[in-house]
This record gives sequence, structure tokens and C-alpha cells, in this order.
Amino acid sequence: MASHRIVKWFRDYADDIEAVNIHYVLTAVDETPDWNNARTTRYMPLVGRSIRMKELRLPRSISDTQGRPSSRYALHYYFEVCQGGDLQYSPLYSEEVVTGSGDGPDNGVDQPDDERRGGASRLHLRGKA
Amino acid sequence: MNPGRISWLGGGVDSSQRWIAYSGGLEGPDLKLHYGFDGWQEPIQEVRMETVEPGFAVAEIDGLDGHVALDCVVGCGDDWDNNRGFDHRVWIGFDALDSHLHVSGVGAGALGIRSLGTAMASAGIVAGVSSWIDNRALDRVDLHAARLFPLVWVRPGDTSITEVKKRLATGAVGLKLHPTVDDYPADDPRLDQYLEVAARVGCPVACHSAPGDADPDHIRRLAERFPETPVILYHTYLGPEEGRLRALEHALEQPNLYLETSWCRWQMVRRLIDSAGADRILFGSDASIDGPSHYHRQPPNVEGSETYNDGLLALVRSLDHDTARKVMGDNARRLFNLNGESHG
Repeated sequence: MASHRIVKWFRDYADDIEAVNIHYVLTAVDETPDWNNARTTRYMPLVGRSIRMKELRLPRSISDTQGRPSSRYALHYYFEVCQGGDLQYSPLYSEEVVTGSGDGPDNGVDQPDDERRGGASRLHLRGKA
Repeated sequence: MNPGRISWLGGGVDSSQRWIAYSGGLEGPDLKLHYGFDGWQEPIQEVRMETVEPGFAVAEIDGLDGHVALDCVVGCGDDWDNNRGFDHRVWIGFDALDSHLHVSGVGAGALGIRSLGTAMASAGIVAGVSSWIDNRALDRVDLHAARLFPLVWVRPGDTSITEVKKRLATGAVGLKLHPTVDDYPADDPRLDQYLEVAARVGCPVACHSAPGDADPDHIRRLAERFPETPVILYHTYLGPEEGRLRALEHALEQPNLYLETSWCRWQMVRRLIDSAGADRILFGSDASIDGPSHYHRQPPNVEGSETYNDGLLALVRSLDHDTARKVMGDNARRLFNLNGESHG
């Protein structure tokens, strides 16, 4: 099944970062994310000395608030950073996704300098390993 | 002060064990062991410890019969070694080995080695099998001192076969798969090259099990392709009970599937043992995801209703001695080829 691909980057801001995960939820535009039941967690591997990258494979459409398939939806995400044995959480980000109408995969690529740094927004959500 | 270590003298697991040893920083003529059985049940007792040599003292314990665990702290005058506030535990009759641990490195945080050591001591865990999402993190940890056996975290398409072979040849005891966070189905054909290495070496494969890519249906298909390789379902499905019971059904039908118990309530563990047999169930906890209090955190972290320490007491009390020994460590020793080695 064709997917809409979005690439997310993270730049390690310290030498003792031991892992970074991205947590995300998709919703209809203006809908509140259900982190407990709809969250997806992906590890962000290092692709350079301090650069991490993950390609998210998102659906071409999701149901809008009326239950109709929509190629316009919201991506909510944050980063979970393990630093020195402690988990830190970035602020929560939300962005609108508009997928293409063609049959093949399409792309939404942030640049590496769109870096996200760990923040003070501790969401008390976690992924067990 | 850094916590000392409490163990049965000689590291024995025989039911006749009576001498308890303390290796730690507290010393003096008033050195004493303050203890209670089976989760600090009354009566709380105290016995003087005899110093054998500096930093090493022993005490003889009476009244072990009918108990499964001893919880304790060591005191000397006004000073106490209470394992950073989490107390020490030793199990009576077996050395517990946790088959599912994580340590991220040498940092001071909840997932660091110091935190894990405190947690293990609080639950009477003498050794464990550990993994981390970035294999290099474990290279910085003195695993032998921490009594940990590492797994190689495999990410298909990213982890090289050369690295897997090298790590298995230098101390790693198995492979770790996490289809959920690494974004692949557990029966992904790209895994076959890694499973072939595991089959040749004779080591097991531990796989996160949960809804989605890590569903037990996928894991079973992987296990079917490598029937000689033990495949351990970590968590026995981290999700609703329907999936947990489906994992059990797969284990009943596929002999090389094993079930690990992290985040399962003790009655569920008992059900798994009764259904699949004692040889197929491995105690694990996912420590120290919840930090040094992982095994007895409040509010309870096992399905929000029980702590590991309380649940394990109830479980062990409900089992015969041989079954308890198998589930609480000997099955993991057998599967991971530890040959009796427990770093103990």
C-alpha cells in the first residue's frame, strides 16, 4: 500500500545521549491526539556523528471528523531522549500533513537543520522495550 | 554511602543456607542485620553480624523454614545501609535471574547502571540479561561487575552480521528484536540472516511482543522458520489479555517459543506456568525502566495493581520449589547457555 513519507531529524545536543525515540499520533485537523491508544513509537538511529533520522511511513489518508477519508490531517509528535540514563521529553509539535494524489509514495522531508532539542515538557509517556 | 551487597554465604541456593553475608562499607562492633521475612512481615528481627575481615561480615539466620524471601537492612550505630532507601532482598532456596533488563550506560539516571543495581538488590536479583537499543551503550558498562549478560540488539538492514558475530563471540548471550520501535514485522525475511547466526551459535532470540508489528502471530512465523532456535516472547504480549492468551496458544503449539513475564500480574504468570509448563516460562521485569524503585514502585507499576516484589512473593509462595527455581532463573540460565554461571 502506498504511503506518504515524512523524514524527521534530530541533532544530538550532548555527548551522553544514549537513545532518541519519536512518538507520534495522527488525527483529523484540529482533533486532540489520543496518546494512550493511538501512539506510535519509532527509534531514531544515528545516521551521522550526531545526526539522527527516521522516515515515517504515514497513510495517504485518514478519516476526518465526519468519517470521510481525507488526505489532509495532523501529525502530532515529540522526541523522547535518553541522556545519562534519564528520559527527557521535547515539547509537543503538531503540523499539518497534505498527501499527494498520485499512486506512488510521496515525500515530506524536513531538513537536518530543522533540529529538535529536548525540552521541559515532560509528558509522562513512555515506550517499554 | 554506596550500598553493600547481601547474599547467602557461599552463594549457595540450597535450602539449608543459613549464613548471610554483607560486603559493604559499614563496619564496627555494633554491626547488625535488621530483617523480616516475605516482605517485612512481623516479627521484625535483628541479629548481630560478625566481622570476618574488613568490609565483610556474616550472621546466622534461624527460622527460614516456611519462608521464601528475606528483606533486610544493615545497621551500625546510627548508620544504615538500606540500599539507598529501597532495602535489600535475598530469596530463600534459589538465586533469581531477571531475563529482561535494560541499562543505557554509566549515567546516573533511572536507566543507568547504578539505578539498575539498586533495583536488582531490592528484589534479590543476583544477575540478569540486558539489552539496549544502541549496542555501543553496553560497551561502556562493566557488565561482569554488574552481573549482566548482554544481548545484541538487531535492527534489520542496519546491524551488520559481522557485528552480531563479533558480539556473540565476546560475551553476548543472544539476540534482541524490537519490531515496534524499529519498524518492521517480526516475521520480516530480512531477519533470517541473523537467525541463521543464532542457530549456528546456539543462542536464543528475545523479541518484544505487542500489538502490531510485534504481534505473536508474526513471532510464531519467525519461530517456525528456525525450529531449533529458542524464541522468547518478551512481555508475553504487552497489551490486552486476548493477545496474551494468543501468545500462550502459540507457545503450546510451537515448541521453541518461550514466554517472558514482564508486566504480567502474578496470577497471569501462574496461569502461563500451569498451561505451558514450568520449563517454558522465564521471569523478567523490564527493569529498570522505572528507576531504582522498579520492583516496588508506588503506585504499583504492574498493570497499575501490584508491584513486582509483592507479586513475586505471591507467585513463589504458590509454586513448588523446583518450579520456582526454574521460572525465577534456571530456565534463563539453560536457554541462554549460562552453564550455571550467574555472576554470583
